[in-house]
Amino acid sequence: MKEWIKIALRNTVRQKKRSIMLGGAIAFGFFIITLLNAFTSGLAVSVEENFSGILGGHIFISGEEVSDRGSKEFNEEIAEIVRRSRMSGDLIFGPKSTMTMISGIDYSEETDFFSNLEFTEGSPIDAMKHGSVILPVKTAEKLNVQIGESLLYNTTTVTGQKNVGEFVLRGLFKGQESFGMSSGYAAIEDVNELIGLPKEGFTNYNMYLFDIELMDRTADALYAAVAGKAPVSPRENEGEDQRPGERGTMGGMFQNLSLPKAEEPWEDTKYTLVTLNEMMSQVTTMISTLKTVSFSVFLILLLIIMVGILNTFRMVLIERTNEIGTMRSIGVQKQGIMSIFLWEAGIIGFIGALTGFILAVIGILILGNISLTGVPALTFFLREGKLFFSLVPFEVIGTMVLVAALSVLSALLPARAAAKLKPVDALRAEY
Amino acid sequence: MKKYLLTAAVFFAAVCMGFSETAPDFTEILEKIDFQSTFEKYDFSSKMTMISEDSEEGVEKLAVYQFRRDREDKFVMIIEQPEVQKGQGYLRYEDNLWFYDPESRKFSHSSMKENFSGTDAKNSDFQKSSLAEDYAVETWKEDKLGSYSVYVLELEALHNEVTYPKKKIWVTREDSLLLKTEDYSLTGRLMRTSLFPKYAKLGDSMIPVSMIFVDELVEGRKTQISLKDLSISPLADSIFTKAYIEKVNK
Repeated sequence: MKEWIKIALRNTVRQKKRSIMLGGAIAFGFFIITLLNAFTSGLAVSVEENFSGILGGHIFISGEEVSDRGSKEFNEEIAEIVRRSRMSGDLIFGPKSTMTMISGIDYSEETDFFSNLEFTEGSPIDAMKHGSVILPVKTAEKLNVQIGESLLYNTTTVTGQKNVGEFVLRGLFKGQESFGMSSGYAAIEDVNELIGLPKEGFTNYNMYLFDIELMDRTADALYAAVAGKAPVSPRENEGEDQRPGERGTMGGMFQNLSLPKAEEPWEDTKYTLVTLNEMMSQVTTMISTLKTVSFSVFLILLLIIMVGILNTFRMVLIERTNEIGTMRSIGVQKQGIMSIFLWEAGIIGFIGALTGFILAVIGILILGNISLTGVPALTFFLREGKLFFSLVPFEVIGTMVLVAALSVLSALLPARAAAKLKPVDALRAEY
Repeated sequence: MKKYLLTAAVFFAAVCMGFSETAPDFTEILEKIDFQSTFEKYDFSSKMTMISEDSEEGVEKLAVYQFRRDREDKFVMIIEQPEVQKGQGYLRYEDNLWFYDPESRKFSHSSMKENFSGTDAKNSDFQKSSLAEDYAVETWKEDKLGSYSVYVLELEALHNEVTYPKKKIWVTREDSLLLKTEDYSLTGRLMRTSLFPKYAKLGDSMIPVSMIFVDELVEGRKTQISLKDLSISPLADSIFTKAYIEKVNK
């Protein structure tokens, strides 16, 4: 075996140009797929982090008067609990008005809340002041309002009565309008006062889990626990009937966080339970589509490379016919000839994949250090203002094995043909 | 001493006279307002023209057919103009308010507290009045509104089912006609002013045929509504059904 590997290595080095071209093609394919895989995986992680940061959790229970019940049985899974109050209504500035959701944040509880926002004007310290609101840049532009100016907010209390509050704009941040998440933020006490909840009340009870993989399982268990004690909206809300105020007002992913849809009458508070996975379904679909497309491109590239390997080794077979004849004459068996061919293909495949991996790592280091903070549309896909790439070892090793295996497979036909050559015919052959 | 006693007696008499001026029966006034604007014995139909002005979005005109059956708490509103909204309809029955969209051919729940089709009028403005049930008079005074002698009543909601927790109404002393209302938020901010300058008498009822709703929060936004082709002729039961609204669109 050692001998065959030695000869295969020698053959690879002997025809440098050809080996480099072949390995280069494999390296390019591997580079592309590794980079794309790392990008899509990183994208999923960044979006997940940004979403959970902005929305304040992995599992969200909303209702008007959610109590601690329903969570006590899940202490092992729940890492952190965040309480927020949410209201929807019209922000008014002079003759302009726009429908905007405002989330009430307990700044003393969510100490790292502002790390998820990219401020363009104003500061978190000012934003925490009583009667302050911070808005996405686009919303402020729509209203033509500047920092320090007062806005009116026309909303309804939890019991449906009209109420109007006044906020001072203290900060602007890059929003995520493309996902329908143009929410503003204010102190939870101010929001509670407007929607008629007690100071310490909240409408949303959000949970961060220790293990995000357990999200759906924990959500199912939580749903069952809450359903046993209070009315809860069905997890999948389908049907034509819609709750008043929902129609055409809150598009995008926030729709899932709004009040429960009315499909049957109920008394008192009705709760809804939504997970981050459900909220992110649009994004995860987009990411998985991207992954599928990139893998399809990789497969096409691989097919082209395989045809290239096949042709190259057919050429090698012709070039080395006399050499094969000599080797067979001095006692090398058919299996040995075949092994030399296959090892050569395997070595080229492996080295090509390894080179592709190294190039991908270099590419990741370069691309991952480019600051993209000036592109608002990308805000939700970035981690600390930069693209985040996540190399999944299982994926990298799997792709490497696949490339090497397919390289060997491509060389199988020429290798078998070489092994079948009769020593006499091979020695006699003239090309 | 006599002088002091006399002064005290005059002051006491004046105070007593002040108290002896009996306050009007406000419950009766609110009930009369409700009664006059309700068609308990008849059905009611009209064609409304709504002109909404917005300094940002300009002027929009809506033509709407209105059918009311107050004794059963039902109403139907069907938009005829503009063309893009033609066929949209509202149906109220059994505490539900349905909105029909001819584009999707679906009914969805709406609320009486919502604005009517982007105007400054609330859906609840087109149902029978229930001031006496919903509000209590907190303060009152006599005043003049134009040439009319009016009571100015400050109302506070008796429950939280109503859209506005506080209201101020101007009602004629002579015949309890509602001329003006101001709607306030829970925090006491003026949100909307409504004016009812013109009434028409139909049967036992008085219906405002001209209404102006001014949004006090958004500058330059108001809606003017005028009613014509008023009728109290009986309406077919089939009008107050989803099927009718769907059929109108075919």
